[in-house]
Amino acid sequence: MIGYLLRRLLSVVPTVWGIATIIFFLMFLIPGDPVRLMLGQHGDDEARVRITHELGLDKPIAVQYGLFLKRLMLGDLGDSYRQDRPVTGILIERIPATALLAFAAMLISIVAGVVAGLAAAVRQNKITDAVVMILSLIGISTPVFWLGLLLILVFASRTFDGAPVVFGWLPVSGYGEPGWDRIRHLILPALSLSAIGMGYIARMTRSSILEVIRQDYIRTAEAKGLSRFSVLMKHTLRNAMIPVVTIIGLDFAALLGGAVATETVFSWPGLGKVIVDAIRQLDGPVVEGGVMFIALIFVLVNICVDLLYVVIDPRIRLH
Amino acid sequence: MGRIWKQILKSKLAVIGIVIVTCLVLAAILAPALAPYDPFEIDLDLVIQEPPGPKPPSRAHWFGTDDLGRDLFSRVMYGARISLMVGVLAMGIATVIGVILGTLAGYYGGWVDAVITWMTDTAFAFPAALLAIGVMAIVPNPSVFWIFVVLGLIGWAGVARVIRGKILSVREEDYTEAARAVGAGDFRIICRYLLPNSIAPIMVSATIGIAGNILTEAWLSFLGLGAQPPVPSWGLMVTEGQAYLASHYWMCLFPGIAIAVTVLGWNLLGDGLRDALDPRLRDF
Repeated sequence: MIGYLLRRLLSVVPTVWGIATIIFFLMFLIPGDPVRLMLGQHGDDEARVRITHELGLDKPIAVQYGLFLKRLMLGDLGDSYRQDRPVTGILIERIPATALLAFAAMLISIVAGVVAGLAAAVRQNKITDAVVMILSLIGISTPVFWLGLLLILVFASRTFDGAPVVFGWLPVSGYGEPGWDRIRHLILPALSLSAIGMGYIARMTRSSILEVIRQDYIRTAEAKGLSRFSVLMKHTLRNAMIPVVTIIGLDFAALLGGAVATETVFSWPGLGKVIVDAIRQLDGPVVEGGVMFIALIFVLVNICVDLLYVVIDPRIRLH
Repeated sequence: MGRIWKQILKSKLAVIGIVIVTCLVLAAILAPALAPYDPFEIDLDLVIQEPPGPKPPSRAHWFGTDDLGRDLFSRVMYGARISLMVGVLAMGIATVIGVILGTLAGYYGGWVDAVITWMTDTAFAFPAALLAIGVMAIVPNPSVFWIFVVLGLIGWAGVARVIRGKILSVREEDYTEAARAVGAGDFRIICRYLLPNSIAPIMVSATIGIAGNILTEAWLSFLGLGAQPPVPSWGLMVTEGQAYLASHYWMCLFPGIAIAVTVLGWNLLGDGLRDALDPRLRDF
């Protein structure tokens, strides 16, 4: 297991190198002169030359690329042009908010998705099945940001079309105070972000269960007199979860992308919001560092998903 | 072909998908003839009428008007053009790149395969939407044109992977061997024997890719990184309506419905195509 984990972690190196290379060249192309951005209008030529030198921008591109990789290995993503501090620090302090949001959304989509998929599979070709399938397609097709706005409109607005609304239960946006207030602020963004995952997971659970249900060992389990519920939970669901776990891993990409939109709509102070704010302020290092950071998280989550396979399905050999 | 059509038409959901996509294409083509107003025409007289501001849906303006008095129904209709162009053109670029790289990797193997597979894995390791943000943030003047380019350059990895797998499995077939034995060149073998066998998976992944592209365009435009005012892009229209959400809901509502229904249509069509063209992939 340890050996497998190490090999898997090593296989990440070329991928991360590829991502870093793309990011570097993107940063190189960024519009606006960073030196001028840092100095504002007051900088004289001497200061300009000094800062260009300090940033290493006077060196050949190959040297800059080498330095970039070296700094990256030390966890240094450069300094923000707008806030006079390292990008890594800015990003790290935003992790808890995004992690909370992503975790909540993931939890909702897994629970609701698996239950809905199970219900659809058990009642295949009945009305429940049709409703679940259509709802999950709608979930996949609805833009996350728009769903967020709809939820705000229905559950958070104080007025609608000039008239007061009964549903004004939840806060429109923000992060709230720790505790109950935080949870109240979390509900709507988490719900809107969970829709896509819910759809994919419900579809996958359904088809996977329909596949497993036809296997001989299920018939054996039924034949030896186990209750229907027991067969479903112990024999079917566990085996059906393997492809679902893959989808959960893939879905994480959509989730991270969606988080950018959701955090913007709900002013949720996470990584996505920081990236969008940085775009508006032309703060290149924060944008590219943030994208790099999220890509890294994504790669690591996929490794976790691979490990999860082994836990769920002991038949998978470790090589 | 007739058999495939019959198969597709058997599924109610696929038929709904075909109807939606057809309506979308018709709306896009016929927008100048069918739209009741000019989508760019600002009507300030209308805006200042009591109560001032965007006007709610009415018989004259089915979807209401926006804060500049522009007819939302006409704008949504013209929006279909942008959505369709982005979806189809970007997918076209992605498909061409994906087919070329996937074929090279699957057919030649060895180091060519290793390099292309590494590129594909890297592209997959990157949440595509984020890469799009990264690129659109550095583009000097974001516009719909750049979205074609970016989505086209990002979306090839899925196609390449599918094609590579398909080519790998067909390469060893007896008929490929026979073609090689009678002296057919690589190019001829690829075009005559390998690619035609890959058309089904290409079509399926392209249709579903179009749905994804349309969502991404809407999302980038919503963030201000895509279409710029006054272009009637659905995503941008939702942004413009955001400030009026509680008081003038229709500005957000209708463009959003247009996005959701369009994406739903392409997804349904993609599902139907997959079930009809490649039964082995069914239920996935």
